[in-house]
Amino acid sequence: MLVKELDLTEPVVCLIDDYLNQSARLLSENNLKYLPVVESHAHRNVIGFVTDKEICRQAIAKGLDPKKTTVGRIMNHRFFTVGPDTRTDECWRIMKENDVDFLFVNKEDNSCSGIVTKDQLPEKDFFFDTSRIQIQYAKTDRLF
Amino acid sequence: MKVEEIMTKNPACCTSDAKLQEVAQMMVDNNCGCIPVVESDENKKPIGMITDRDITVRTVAEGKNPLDLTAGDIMSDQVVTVKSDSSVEECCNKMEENQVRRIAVVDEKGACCGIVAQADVAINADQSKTAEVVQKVSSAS
Repeated sequence: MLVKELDLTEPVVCLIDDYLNQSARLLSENNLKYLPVVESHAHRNVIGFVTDKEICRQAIAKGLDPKKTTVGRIMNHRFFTVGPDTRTDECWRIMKENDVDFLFVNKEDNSCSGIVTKDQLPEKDFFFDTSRIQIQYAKTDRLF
Repeated sequence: MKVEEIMTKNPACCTSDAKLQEVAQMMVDNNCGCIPVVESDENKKPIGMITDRDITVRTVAEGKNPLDLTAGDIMSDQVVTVKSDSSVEECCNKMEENQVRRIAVVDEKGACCGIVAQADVAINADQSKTAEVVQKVSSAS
């Protein structure tokens, strides 16, 4: 299966100069876990992201006022991207190898067109099916 | 399998008068996104839970300054608990019934002694199922 076959929507984004209260409102109002930070609304290439974790641990814990602190100061720079023609099993491999739960999907012009999470991948079922297969083999004595 | 076998033991806790900056620092120090709120440091009876999501949406997103607020101001006060000697299955049922992703574990005195998250259940449930079946097959042959 390819990424472009998944039901992805163009994500809500924020800018590096937005204040944290603005980005927190976007996270809350849109019920988001991940908020990409892009260079500009015109050219939506991702340069980082923020979550509740960054807001709490990189700002609140350090005593920074969220109304005076910009996204650029606390955003997370560690992210991975794939294209629409990337296979979903490759996405799963990238997530597992790098211990991340999501990937940004970029179009040819490097603008962000979606976010793919582990829950959306068909491989998540295969992961649990593997343990069921082991149980099936054990029941039929094929391991012995 | 008992809850006490899969839980994170002795989690960092705070009281309701803890400042949110202090709570956020505890999340950094303990690398966690959830802090149980207890009645007192002495009895550790759970009275609420506070997560990084609570801090973000209930203060920052609403334009409030979290540096002026305490855990008691924003914590979720519907605490779901499970006893440490309960089964993992009972724990799962409680999480499903109450639609929570984390549950506080209490000892015989009602003091918070652990936390179980959905990920803890998922990892250990698969392993226990596999181990149980292999054991049954081994004993039969």
